[in-house]
Amino acid sequence: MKKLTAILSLIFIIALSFTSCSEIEIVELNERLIIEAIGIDYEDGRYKVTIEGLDSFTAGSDSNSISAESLTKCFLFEGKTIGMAMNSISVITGQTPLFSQARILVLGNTAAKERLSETLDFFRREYTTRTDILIAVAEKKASDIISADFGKNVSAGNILEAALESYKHTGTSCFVPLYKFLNALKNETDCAFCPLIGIRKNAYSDTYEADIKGTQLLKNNESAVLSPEETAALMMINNETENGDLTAKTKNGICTLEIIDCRTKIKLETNSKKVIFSISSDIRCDIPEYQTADLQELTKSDTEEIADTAARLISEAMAGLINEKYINQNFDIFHFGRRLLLKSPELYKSLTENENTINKNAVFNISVSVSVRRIGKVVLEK
Amino acid sequence: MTKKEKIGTYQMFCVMLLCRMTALFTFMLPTTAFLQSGDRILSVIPLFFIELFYAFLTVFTLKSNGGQSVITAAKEISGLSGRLTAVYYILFFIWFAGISVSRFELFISTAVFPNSELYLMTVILIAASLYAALKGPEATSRGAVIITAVLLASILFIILTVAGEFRFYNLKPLLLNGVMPVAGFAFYVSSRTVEFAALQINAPLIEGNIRKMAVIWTLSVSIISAVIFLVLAGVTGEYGDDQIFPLYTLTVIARFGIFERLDDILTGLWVLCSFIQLAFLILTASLCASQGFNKAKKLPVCILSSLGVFIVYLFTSKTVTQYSEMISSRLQDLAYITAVLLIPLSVTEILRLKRRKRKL
Repeated sequence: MKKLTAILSLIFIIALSFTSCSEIEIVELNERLIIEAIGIDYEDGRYKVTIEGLDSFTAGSDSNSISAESLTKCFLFEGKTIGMAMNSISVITGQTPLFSQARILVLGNTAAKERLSETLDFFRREYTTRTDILIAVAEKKASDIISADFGKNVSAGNILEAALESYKHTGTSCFVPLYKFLNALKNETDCAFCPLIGIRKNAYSDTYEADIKGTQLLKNNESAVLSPEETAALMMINNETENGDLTAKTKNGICTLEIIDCRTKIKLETNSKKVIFSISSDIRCDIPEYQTADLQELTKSDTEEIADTAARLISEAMAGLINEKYINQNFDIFHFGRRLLLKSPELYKSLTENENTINKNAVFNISVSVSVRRIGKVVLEK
Repeated sequence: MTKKEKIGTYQMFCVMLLCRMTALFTFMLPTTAFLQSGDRILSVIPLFFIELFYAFLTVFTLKSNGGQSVITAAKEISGLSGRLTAVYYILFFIWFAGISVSRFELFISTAVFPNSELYLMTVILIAASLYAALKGPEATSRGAVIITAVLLASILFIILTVAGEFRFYNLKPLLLNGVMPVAGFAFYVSSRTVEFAALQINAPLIEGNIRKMAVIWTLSVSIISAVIFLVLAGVTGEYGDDQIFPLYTLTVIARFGIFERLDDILTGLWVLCSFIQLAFLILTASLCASQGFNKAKKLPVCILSSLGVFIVYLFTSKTVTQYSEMISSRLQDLAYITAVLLIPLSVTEILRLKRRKRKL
């Protein structure tokens, strides 16, 4: 009887005390502004923060939400700092923002190039944003991308996230969560990079679609852009390629190679003041297409020629990228400085003491091997 | 049926492990943030030897005192020294528990309810811990065994899921700034813990080989710490260096298939860890009182200890991030050395001399 009284009393106390009417900040769903995407622009000494929030009034209403004009709403906030702009969200929308659901942070081109560290400090420090939020730089203004009409009942955050995740299939774009970007930014020699995105009109409707333009490199107020092809080489060097396609032209026709697996190893040797990086890539491909004038079958020598051509193309792309962006412009997007620091701290120190000159003292050996795994459902000709 | 008041060594092992995990990984002390990640991993080696030293010292003093706690041994010297020792340990445990509650509140108000002050939740946590403490050491440690198993499984799962993001080049070379920062870090970490002091008090309740348990515990804690420091450095690089909640940072990154928000699981686990830690410390404080004062009753002592924990929490919760800057670091070191080294050694030596004198 004593136990029963105690249990009943406990249930009674819990029923009265856990009613959500407490000091703890508990917000009803329709009072929440669930943020899907954030865009930051910097203009005339002020930050313009564009927020795409899930319209919880529409989403939670009794009427059929599918028929609603849009499930998301965009808002523009301004402030001298990002924090001040963010603080005005509740005042303007009447809702409490929930940043932890945000999928992507898009930096306007000016904000990224001129105020990168200042802009990112809020997201590094603020409690509510997640460290794995994706980051991208807008081709022009972030607000144009966040507020673009991507179609009915879709959110910009969702579309942009899906576009960035396409790196897994194309291999021509990168995928950078905030913590990786900040890790590169905080490093002495690394160059931070993230996707450069824009929008383009859909060919058959008035809506827009995401357009990945390549990769934006950012370092100490310097910037550069990698094309999708250069990004593919970057991803291969950094051993980040999961899948992708490339085209090889042979004497008999044009062949498409689908990358199934790509493994790159970077070995480092040092002698006196020289740093020797040996980059070796092992790539396995399938051949889904071989365009010839007369539906010609592939022979063993054809596949060998295709593999050799592909290997040469890839190694040329890698060498070109390293030469142009690292040796000439010192954008260390390959973490060569980090590798040297780990291998030989003394040499690293001597090469970075006054100015980072690792790039001027680096020698590269690149070797790429491509092997063909499958050739489709057509047999190999003898 | 008599109430079981003894606990096994494996149960004590789990309680101590939970206390250490809660202290070390929910909150990275501010002054440690600037140690290079490579050195932080390396610091586990001196930390292991420092802890091993404390472990052997604890076992040695316990054995020399005939298995009785340091307070009971002090009481054998004189009633006053027993009472003074008891008061010191009570204050030590209450202080540590209060700081832990402040850290817990910081964690919850950062990760779960951002920017909120959570007096109600803290009061509920302390009240629940008080209730658990009143249930006795066996009940608390039984809970600890289950939570330890879940916690270790979760940590393993999180490490496996973030393993794909590990990059060797994110690591930093060792001893770039010499040996001293590494040794200093190891000492700093070890002196902000409570386990060996608690072992001194709880030893009479433990059934089994305490020496073996202490050595295995030290080794386990060192290995777990090294693995977590290594994975954190390899995955997050410089980003992870200044994170207040290192393990939480890893869980935010961790993804496994459709499971994208593993941090929620860990948050729940940390609440349970804090609960066990607090219950254990309140219980240990009450044990100190019962060993030092003959007429001390468990219920009022536990209530007073809980009240003390709440008061410490009230005074430290606003400034817990700057805790080590606010309170002299040396004062904390001194308090720890006194609890783990000075008092046990002095009591053991005086008691030995007194016993020898008595024999003569």
